[in-house]
Parts: sequence; C-alpha cells; structure tokens
Amino acid sequence: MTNFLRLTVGEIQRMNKYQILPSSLFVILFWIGFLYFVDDTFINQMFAILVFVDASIMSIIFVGATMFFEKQEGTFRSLMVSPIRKSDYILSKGVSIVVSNLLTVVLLFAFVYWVKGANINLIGFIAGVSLIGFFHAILGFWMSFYAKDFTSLIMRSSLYMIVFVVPVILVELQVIQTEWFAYVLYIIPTQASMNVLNAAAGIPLETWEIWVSASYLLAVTIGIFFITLKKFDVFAQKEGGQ
Amino acid sequence: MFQVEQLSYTYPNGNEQTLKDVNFHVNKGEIFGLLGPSGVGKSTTQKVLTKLIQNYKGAVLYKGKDLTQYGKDYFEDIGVGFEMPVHFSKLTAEENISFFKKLYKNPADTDALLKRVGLYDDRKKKVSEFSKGMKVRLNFVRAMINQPTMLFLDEPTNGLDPVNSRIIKNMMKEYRNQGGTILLTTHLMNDVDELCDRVAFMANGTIAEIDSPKNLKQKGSARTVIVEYMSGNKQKTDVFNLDTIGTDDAFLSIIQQHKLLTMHSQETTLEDIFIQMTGVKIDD
Repeated sequence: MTNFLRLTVGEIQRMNKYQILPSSLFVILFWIGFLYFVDDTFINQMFAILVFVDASIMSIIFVGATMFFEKQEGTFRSLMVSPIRKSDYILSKGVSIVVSNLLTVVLLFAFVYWVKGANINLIGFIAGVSLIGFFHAILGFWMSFYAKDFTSLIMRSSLYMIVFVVPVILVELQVIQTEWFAYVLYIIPTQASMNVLNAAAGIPLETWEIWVSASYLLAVTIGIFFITLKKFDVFAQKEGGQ
Repeated sequence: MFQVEQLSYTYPNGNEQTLKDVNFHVNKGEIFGLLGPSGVGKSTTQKVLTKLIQNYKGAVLYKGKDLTQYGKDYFEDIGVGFEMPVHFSKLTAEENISFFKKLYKNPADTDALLKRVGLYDDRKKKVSEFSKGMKVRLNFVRAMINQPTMLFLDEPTNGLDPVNSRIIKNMMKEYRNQGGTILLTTHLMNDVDELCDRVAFMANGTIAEIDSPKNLKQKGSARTVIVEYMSGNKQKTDVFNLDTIGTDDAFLSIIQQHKLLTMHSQETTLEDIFIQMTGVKIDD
C-alpha cells in the first residue's frame, strides 16, 4: 500500500471518528425525507440538485472541518515531518471527501430507485460526483488556507454558496428564467457541475453542453489542484513553521 | 551530522530577522542543547532543520548534503518530538501510533516503546482522555516511531513527574550511546546539565556561546572556596583562592583547628550562565 492510500484510509477513518461521516449520514436522512414528498415527475431533477449541493457546498465544509481539526490538534505539523508527498496529502483529502459524496449518491439512489421508482444513470452520477466532489474538496482545502478559523471558513462557504450555488439552483428550478443569465452562469464551475449531473439524471441537454461542461470541470479541477499544490508550501510553513 | 552556516531567516510580514547569521554544527552521536529564552530563534532554527521552514538564507548541510536537496526520504531519517501534543484526540494511542507508523519504511517496535514509557496498558484509550504527561510520553514514542538517526526534541520532559522524566532521559541517553544524535531544546537546566554533550546559547537571533556544560560552568566560575566554620561559639565565613588553597596557612589552620560547617567551590550553574548570556531569567 502506498502512503497515498494509507493517508486516504486514515482520513476516512478519522472522518468517522470525528463524526463527519455520521453528520453526512444525518444530512442524507434529511434529504431522503425531503425526496419522499417530491412528486415523481420532478424526482430526477431534485435528485440531481440534492447531489449537486452535497458534492459542492458540503464537500467544502467537510474538508474544512478535517483541516481545522488537524491544525487545532497539531497533527498537521506531525504529518509535515512524515515521509509523505504534499500531492499525496492533498489528493487524500480530495479522495476521502469523494468517498463521502459517493455514499450520499448510493444511498439516495437506493431510495429513489426502490421507493420512487426513478430511472437514474448511477454510473453517470458516480463519475460526475467524483469530479464535482473532488473539485470542491480541493477548493475547500484551498479556502481553509486563508480562513483563520472554522467560523471564517463557514462564512466563506456561505459566500460561495450565495454567489455560485444558489443562482444555479434558481435557474434550475426556473425561478430565474432570464435566458442571458443562464448563459452567464456557464462561466462558473457550478453550472458545469449541474449540467453534468443533469445529464446523468436524464434531463435533456445538448451533447456539446455535456462535453463542454465535463471538460471545463476537469480543467478547473486540474487547475485548482496545481494552484493548491503550489501554494501548499506557504500554507505548511504558516501552520507548521510559525 | 549538521553544519549550519550563516543561517538567516525573516518570517513573512516580519520586520526583523529572527535568525541572524547563525553558525554551529552538531556532531554525530551527541546530544546538542539549543537554549535561550522565548523568541530568540531556537524554535525557528529547529523548524529550519526539520524542513518546516524552507526559504531561509545561508546553508544547512545534513550528512554533508544541502538540506534543500533532500526530499521526503529525509523524514525517514529524522524523528521530531514537538513540545505541544500532536495527536488525533478522538483516536486511541494505538490508532495514532499505527497510523503514523505505517508511513515509514523502517518502523520501530512501538509496543516495546509504549511499554517502556508506561503507556502500553493505556494504548486503547482515546488520547483526549490522556493527562498532559501521558501526551508528552506519547509525543516521544511518535518521535522514535521510525528508528531515526537524528532526533529533534522540544521540551521532552516538560510536564512529566520525576519517575517518567527519568525514564525519558534514560531512553535519550541509550539512544545517544547507540549512535543516535539529538538536538534538544529545553528550559530545564538540570536536564541540560545531565544530558547534553554540548550546548548553544541563543540570544537575539544569534549564537552567543557554544561549549560543553562542564566547560561553560568552569569558564563562568569564580576560582574561590567559601568555608563556613565555628570559631568558639560564633559562626564565621571566609573565602579562599582555589588556586593557592593548598598552601594557604589561614585555610589549613581553619580545617585543622575548627569545626567546619560547609565548604563550597564557587562553580557557577547553567542557570546563571543562561541569565548571563541571554539577559533573561529562566521563568521569563
């Protein structure tokens, strides 16, 4: 087993011990309750929206929580004097959050499939959520660089939600129906995320839209990973060296 | 083991240099003490040597090779014991040790280490249930987890009772006797006196003095002996020159004809030297 896998397994175990995974399960139960009351006609769309929220905003908050536990308990320092690559450390954070996201997808899928009889492309969702969850986990990791404490991260996450997540949902629910606004949203990665999930949910989209969205999401994920990797030394020095 | 040359460092957004042309070396198989009051740069120096700080000026050579040339394998070779606890509090001691142990190619027998520091029976307890002393001992096990050849220890006995402090100090001596090298940072001058082969006093970001504790004490000592004795019913005190004491008639007369109460050479303590070198009292 490589150190990347050891870090990932350790991260998932700690997410359980620190009540992050149980919190995630509690949120899933809440969403299952919500989906129970959704009309079958809209179940695919609502499923995609809930998965979108989980893979975006919840990923940022969960990775932030793990970072702040590590900073608070000094374990970040201990990890920084261990024989691990910084890329392995960052990747392990992203992958363990994706595991949590996939747990949400599988449990919600099981509910809508067996209880609501929905026809959803599970493989498509797994692929989409892996990309969206990973992107947002790395974004959350990067945001925690600049957050003084967990409250500060929550404030930043809320701002991100208002600016990047809520408008996408409002357009999705047709609360905002202005056509130009929908196109403006194409410049933000959350709209690309929604498009990818909509495609998996069987909501009609142009083929080019799906490919452009997936490619865009992949590009920004690679971009933010390398930016985070580059900034990591400054962060590690700030947290471990000062 | 280490050669530090012209090491300087300024923290980002810092106005003043924390380290100013620091020069010293650490020999293989010695316990090297880095002493000084808070804020003079000893922790910063240790962070440079443990690669927690990287954009410094000057040169740091480890085993003859520039520290910047080492990758993650450097951490296979060193062990770091932090002053503050560095454990996942919601995991047990065993889970903490197991997690970190798996990251190394050459892990130590951690059960033996836990037994030695008296934590084996508590290994299934969550670290959050540990006392301060237990966490300090677990820090030491964490530092030794990879059988390092170089050990950095920051206040390793701080918060320990005398029995556990003795265990840790004995383990440090054994480690040194088996060829290991230790860079020790501590405020406890008794530990320094007992453990260190050489010590460096830091003041204002530079090294003020480096020598063995014995030499430092001799350098700072007054070459005198104070004798307290009874003369009739009265207690008297006289001071004699240590270099001429064997031929000093007054001294010889006192020891032959009077009842001696005490007799002390004026060897200075490391604490006195610390205050003298740094201008700061230990408690500060």
